[in-house]
Amino acid sequence: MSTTHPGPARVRRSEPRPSAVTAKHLARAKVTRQRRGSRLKLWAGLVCTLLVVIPVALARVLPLPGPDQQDLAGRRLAPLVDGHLFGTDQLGRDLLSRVLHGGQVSLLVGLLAVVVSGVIGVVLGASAGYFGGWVDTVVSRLLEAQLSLPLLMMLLLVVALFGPSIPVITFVIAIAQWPEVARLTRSLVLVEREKPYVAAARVLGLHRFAILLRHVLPNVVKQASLVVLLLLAQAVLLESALSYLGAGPQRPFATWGRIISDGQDYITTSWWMVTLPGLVIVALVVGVNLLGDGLRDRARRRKVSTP
Amino acid sequence: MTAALLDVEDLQVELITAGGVIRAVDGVSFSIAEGETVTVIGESGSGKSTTAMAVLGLLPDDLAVLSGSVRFGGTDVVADPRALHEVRGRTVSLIPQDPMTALSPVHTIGRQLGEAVRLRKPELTKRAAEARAVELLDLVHVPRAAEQLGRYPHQLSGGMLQRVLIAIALAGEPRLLVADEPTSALDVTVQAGILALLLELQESTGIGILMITHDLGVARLVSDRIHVMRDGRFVESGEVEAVVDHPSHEYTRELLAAVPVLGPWDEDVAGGER
Amino acid sequence: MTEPLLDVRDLVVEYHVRGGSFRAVDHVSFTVHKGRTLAIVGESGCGKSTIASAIVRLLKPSSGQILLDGTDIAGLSERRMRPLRSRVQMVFQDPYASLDPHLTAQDIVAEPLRLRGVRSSADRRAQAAELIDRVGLPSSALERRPAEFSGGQRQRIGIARALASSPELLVCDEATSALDVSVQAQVLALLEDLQRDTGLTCIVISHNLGVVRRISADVVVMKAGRVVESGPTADVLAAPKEPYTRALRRAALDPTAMTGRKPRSFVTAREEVPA
Repeated sequence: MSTTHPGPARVRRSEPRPSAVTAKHLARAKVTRQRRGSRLKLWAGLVCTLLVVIPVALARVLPLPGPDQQDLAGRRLAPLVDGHLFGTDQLGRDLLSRVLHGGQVSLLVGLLAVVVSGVIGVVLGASAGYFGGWVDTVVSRLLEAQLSLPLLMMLLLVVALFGPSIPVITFVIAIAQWPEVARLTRSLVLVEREKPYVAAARVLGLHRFAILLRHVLPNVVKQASLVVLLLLAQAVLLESALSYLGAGPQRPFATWGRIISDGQDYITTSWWMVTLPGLVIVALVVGVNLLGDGLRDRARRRKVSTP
Repeated sequence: MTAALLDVEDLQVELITAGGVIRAVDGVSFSIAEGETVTVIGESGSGKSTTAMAVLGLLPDDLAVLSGSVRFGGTDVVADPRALHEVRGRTVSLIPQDPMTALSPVHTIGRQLGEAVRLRKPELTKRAAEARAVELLDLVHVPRAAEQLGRYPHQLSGGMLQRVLIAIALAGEPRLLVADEPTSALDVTVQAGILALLLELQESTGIGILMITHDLGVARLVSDRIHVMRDGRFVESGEVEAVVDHPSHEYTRELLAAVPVLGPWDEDVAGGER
Repeated sequence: MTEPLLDVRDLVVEYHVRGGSFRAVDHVSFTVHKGRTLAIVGESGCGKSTIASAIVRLLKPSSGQILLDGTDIAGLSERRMRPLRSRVQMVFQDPYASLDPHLTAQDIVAEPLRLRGVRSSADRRAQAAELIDRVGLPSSALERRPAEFSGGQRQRIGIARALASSPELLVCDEATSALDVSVQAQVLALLEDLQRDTGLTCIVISHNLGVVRRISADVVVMKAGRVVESGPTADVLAAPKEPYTRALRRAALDPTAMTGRKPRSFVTAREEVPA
């Protein structure tokens, strides 16, 4: 004898059962924590990044003295004295103005380097992952060889050979960073390649190249570009390191690393000459990293929720 | 009349997901007595696995909110989640779905089975625990049991691994087994052996079984009673012959109609039993 | 009896593994006739999926012939195979990974049309819409991405994509194994309809004897890379000649065929040998 349940016994059919989920449950829930966490990261990252990027972008428009404008009467002024927000350096130049103008070059170099390394990395990594065979061997060995070289030494060598101009430095940083992008892209492509939709494309009769361009890359690019964003911070750091060591671009403006190295001698007497540019770098790097992390968390959660 | 091994009343499971609060189980009630197999059958998304996980207290706290009652011989584990500790592994054990991934790949079978034995009987010496492990493997008809103790999961076939998992479940000397789709990942000939084993164990030890499955053939074979589940609710419940031969709910009829018919063959004897 | 569309002769597929080679398909021969469905049934590791991959030339067989209407496609180079590909298409097992996640349903179905030479984008979209309708999906499905569909719906899109090439032979590699039983019934019904309407020849790979009984006219039973038994499905399933086929048939659990409470004898073989 079997019973059918037309609905819960002794409960009115039209009304749903009461929910046992309380506000406390919702607050403690994993998804809430995750969402809060990634939202926090996104906002904090965005704020820090914009705090640096917007003033730098507006450097020429802001009412600041020129970055190379010396004022020997107002040397090594402390921050907030005489209208200099960041103080002045040993030649009386306004530090904030120098930082913002120098930042334009630093950011430009960083962005360009990241775009170039992104393109090279994705192209080589995807080819290695998709075609395998000797393409993979060549790219992987190249990648590993480069990763095994001491980065800064190599960069200094190239700059010593070819001169510290902006194109050389951009190119050199891009060369330093492409292996990481390539490695990630290669792994992502290796995974996608095994999926049946790629096999389906082969059965349809698509050329291998067409499958890579039309099916594999679009599914891989989003994840790869998150890494590229995180590399922007690294690129800016590398540029700062180079210019600190004296190998950075000399014109038109001294960039962050150079400003810091200029202020080294005065670190005990005029702390702001080293610390404030340093803090600006920190703000940018932390901001970009948080932003990238937050975006990656959100992308990962979205992938988990679809079966 | 002995107390039921498991008594579930008005169980409700709500999951807090990114898309809102989902009511995966919407007020189900059932009970299992000694020596009885109760099956919850449903398609994907029906809530059957969630029911089993909720009964065992395996749903994470930060995901699921349980209400109603789940009583193991008197102890309500929804009201008192700390009581789960005494119940799990002792009164009730789980046979998981995919044997290939349910065991640690870096430890031997003997080590994992021994761990289960010693959890239940910490007073046993190493040799006694090993002897008990071999005993359990014999119980589940694993050939050359002593040899298998030294092997690793990847060296065994799916069917053999599932037998090992049943042995691990039995190490706790439970009164109730929860089998969550225990044969879905196995070949059909292997499945037959596992189901025969479960039936044999039930016959000899009087253990109760809560079977979760989507396969009507499996349900018909192993059950005393069936609950048909859809969208978090039971739409039909009853003795297995009644539900399968004379379904009253339309959904049950649809499910039965959807099972592809095999037709008669030369091993069918008049009367149906062989 | 119609003429053979596909004639597989002495097919061998070997994989290179550490310490030698592994023969997944060991001298297998069978024939598929136009407009009929052949099922290849067996348990995991028997080589049935490898045969499917060989027939659609996802892999190149080590030896043997695959005669598609007289043309041997087994050894063809990729370049010479390409124009023939539209004649043999496949529906895959995993509904979740067999569709490109970043394309819409319409794009997925329109792609083979472009390969077949339908130049105008408007034409392709119209034909794709027709095919999607043919497989029983609403027009609202056109602009949606795979993630928004259920398993059964995705398989329908997969079938529409395969049909877009106007194939003569459709290989279904466990196409319903990942689906709920009620959804499976719907998809099988769709395949039967399509065969009736278009004379499509099908090869169905499955481990499920019920599916095989329902959808196929002929069956090939495989074990460890070899053909164990073959013949008309109804005959093979009603009176299996080989012990392995018997074991398979015996292990298949038909709820309506069982009587009594917990009929253990249903699954106990004469020799109680664990798997």
